[in-house]
Amino acid sequence: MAQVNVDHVQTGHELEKATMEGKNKIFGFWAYMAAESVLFASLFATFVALRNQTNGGPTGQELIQLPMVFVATVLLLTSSLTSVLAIQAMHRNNLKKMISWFGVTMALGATFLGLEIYEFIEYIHEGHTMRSSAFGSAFYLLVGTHGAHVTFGLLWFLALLIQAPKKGITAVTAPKYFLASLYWHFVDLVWIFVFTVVYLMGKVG
Amino acid sequence: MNIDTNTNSNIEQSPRTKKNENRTPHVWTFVVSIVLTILAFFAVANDMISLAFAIPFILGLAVIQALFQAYVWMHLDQKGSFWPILLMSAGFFFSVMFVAALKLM
Repeated sequence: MAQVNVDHVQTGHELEKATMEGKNKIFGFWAYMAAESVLFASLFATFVALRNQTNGGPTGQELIQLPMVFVATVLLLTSSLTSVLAIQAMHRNNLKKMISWFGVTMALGATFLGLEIYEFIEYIHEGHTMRSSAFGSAFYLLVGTHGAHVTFGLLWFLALLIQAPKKGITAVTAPKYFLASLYWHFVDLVWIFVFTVVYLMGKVG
Repeated sequence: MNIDTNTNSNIEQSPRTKKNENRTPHVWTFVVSIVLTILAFFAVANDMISLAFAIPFILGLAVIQALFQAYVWMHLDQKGSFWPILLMSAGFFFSVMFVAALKLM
């Protein structure tokens, strides 16, 4: 049985750090996120280098519909806030509230993903595909990798939410909820740069 | 203390120790994020500023927003965050290097 820090358990505050295992998981997860940011860096670098190589196809300026991307950004930002609220509910040992806030987070994330898929379909109709140009390849690789992270995050939340009613909030489960929320913030953080570098800079030209 | 970590009822909340966390900084970070996003959006959508200045301007806004979220939402403002900050700074450092190197190639 893991050693449990009594202070954390009695107050319910930061239960995710009550065990050494929980603390180690959080530390390991930061190392993972640092590695992930380097992965995204390579994709960003590739995109920045190739974004004007359109091979006669549509350019970013012609394709990008800023209002829709703006709505997607607001959805993802809001979902990041609701996952904070879920963790605060967890700290108050309020399982029901935690599940509801994670549910809201998932709904917002799924809407974001839906918008992105709709956007990709529109672009493909306009002749902007993964194979149409170097810009296309770099675009779908970068934005698609982010979308894959959103998808994985949704599946992660789903797996947690299926188990949450049964397993509750304990020193074992708290780090799991906390890390899913941390991951979601990271996905949101990467999106800030996707929004800026791909969409806003794409519109500037 | 040995507790059974597989049951739901391991934590008894006494009113004495139950203290709500402050929601305000998180909501403020959300407001700041939205405002910075709107600012960047309008800077580009309405040609408010010159093209040469637009890119550094929106990149700066993105970095400010990212720092806000990392410190407040991801709790890097708490003590004991030295290693996460060092790791993420290293990640960001390499990111900037990669982009600059490929851009200048």
